[in-house]
Amino acid sequence: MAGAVMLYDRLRWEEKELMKAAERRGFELRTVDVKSLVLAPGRSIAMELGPLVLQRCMSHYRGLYISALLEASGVRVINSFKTTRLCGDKLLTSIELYKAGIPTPRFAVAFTAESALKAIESLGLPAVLKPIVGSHGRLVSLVDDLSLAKALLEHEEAMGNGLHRVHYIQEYVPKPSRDIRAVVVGEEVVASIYRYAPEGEWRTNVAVGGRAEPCKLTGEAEELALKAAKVVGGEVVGVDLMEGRDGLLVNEVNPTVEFKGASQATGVDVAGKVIEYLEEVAKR
Amino acid sequence: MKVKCPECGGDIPVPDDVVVGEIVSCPDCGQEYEVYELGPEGPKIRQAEVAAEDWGE
Repeated sequence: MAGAVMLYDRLRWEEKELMKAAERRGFELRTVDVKSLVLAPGRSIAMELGPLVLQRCMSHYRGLYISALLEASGVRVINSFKTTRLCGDKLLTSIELYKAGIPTPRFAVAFTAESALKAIESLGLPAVLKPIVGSHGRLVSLVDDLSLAKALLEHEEAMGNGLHRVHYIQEYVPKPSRDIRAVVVGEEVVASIYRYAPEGEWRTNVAVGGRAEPCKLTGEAEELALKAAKVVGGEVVGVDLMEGRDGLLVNEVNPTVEFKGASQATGVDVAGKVIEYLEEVAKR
Repeated sequence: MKVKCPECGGDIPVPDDVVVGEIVSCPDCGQEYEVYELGPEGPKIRQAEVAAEDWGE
């Protein structure tokens, strides 16, 4: 019987739900810890893991490189290497959205603290500084004065990692204290929620205490979420939308989507939908 | 089920339906562990990785 392997490095609520959903549906989902693997491209890795892999690593780089290696060995990976590469990097995601004409907040990139300050001035205050790789709102900063921006940029430059010297600056979008998370599986939005920022916080990430509430998507929002997923080749992704003054904007697309908030707030069996999708792909 | 915390000696509760890869934490000292093997002598644990910069969704 056709099944799949789920690669992980840390079992979150989501991965455990996927295991339970697979069991309920009688779909063989073998879990493999990437931390235990030694990988070289070729037939042996394809034999060991089989033709279909659901990549659910919490570490972006582990997920990224293993996807590249698996695809080179003929394994079908969900999400694809391309999707993980584009979505794991906020700058590349923004560029891809821009290319496709999908409304997204204005952004700029600068390679020194000095030029980043100029970029902030040109986008206007307040502005958002984001690491290009990272999640859960970590180190995402809202800057509303230039001296604070300067201090933050100097800290980033001192962090040593070259990626921190690629400064991604995004306009701050005035919006209600919430955003919209649409979970896309295949060609369908299976669940959508509002994520409300907690008291005293501007970020809406569930990881910083954001509250999830069910959200009925408008046709426009649904279309936009599906389009955003499509331009990055996403099969199982979380699309974050903002309600700007002039309409909806796509902020980010998350390639290893966490759907605990969405499942619990909407009652939708997101894990079941993902397994259903794997079943379909396995049959092809 | 319970396992001894290698850090502080406290009792870490482990659910009966535990699976390999699951994270358990010591109620006494807060240290997180990953269950890496399920054997006849009970689950084996090792220190869980701490969140890294590239972790997320």
